[in-house]
Amino acid sequence: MIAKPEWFKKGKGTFNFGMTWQGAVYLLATLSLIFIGMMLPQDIITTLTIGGLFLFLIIDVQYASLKTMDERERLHYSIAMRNMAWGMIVTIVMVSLVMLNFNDEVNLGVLIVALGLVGFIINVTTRYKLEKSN
Amino acid sequence: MKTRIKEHRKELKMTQEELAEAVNVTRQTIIALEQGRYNPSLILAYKVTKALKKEYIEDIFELENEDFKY
Repeated sequence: MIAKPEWFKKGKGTFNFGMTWQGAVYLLATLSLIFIGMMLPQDIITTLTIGGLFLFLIIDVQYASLKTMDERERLHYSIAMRNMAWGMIVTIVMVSLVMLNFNDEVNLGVLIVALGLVGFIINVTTRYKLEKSN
Repeated sequence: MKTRIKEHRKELKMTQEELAEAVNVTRQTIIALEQGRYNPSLILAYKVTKALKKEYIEDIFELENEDFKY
C-alpha cells in the first residue's frame, strides 16, 4: 500500500475534503496516469493495466481512509457498504430484467451508470440516517 | 445507555475536542456518546473512563433496562 492514513485524515472547516495536500497529489497523480493510459491506443495489455491501476487506487485509498476512522465511523461505513452492495445487487437484477424485456440485450453502459447512482444514493442516505440516530 | 461523560468532562474543564483527542476518536463520536446515542466498545469505554480520571467504567457508563433486551 502506498497511501498513508494521515493523508486522508478528516480536518475541520467547510473546505475540507477529507484529505491533505499529499492525499490530493497522490490521487491526482494516479488519476493522471489512468487518464494518460486511456489516451493510448487500446489493446488488451493497456486495458488490463488501466483497470488494475484503477482498482489498486480505489483499494489503496479506501484502506488508508479506513485506518483514520474510529470505531463508530467504521460501523457506519460497514453498514453503508452492506446496504450499498445489496442495493446494487437488486439493481443489477432489476435493470437487466427490464432491459432484456424491452431490448433483448443488456446495455452495459446504462447498467454501470444505474449501479453508480443507486450505490451513491444508498450510501449517502444510510450514512445520513446513521449519523442522526447513532 | 446513560452516561456521565459531560458532567465529568466539565469537572475537568475539558472540551469535547480534547476528550476526543485523548481517546483517539472524532468529536462527533464524543457527542454521540454524551447523548447516549452510541454504545461504545469495552475498549473505548475504558479509554474514556481513564481520560476522565475515573477508576471504574460504571462511574461513567450506566446500563438501562432497555440495554438488557438484546
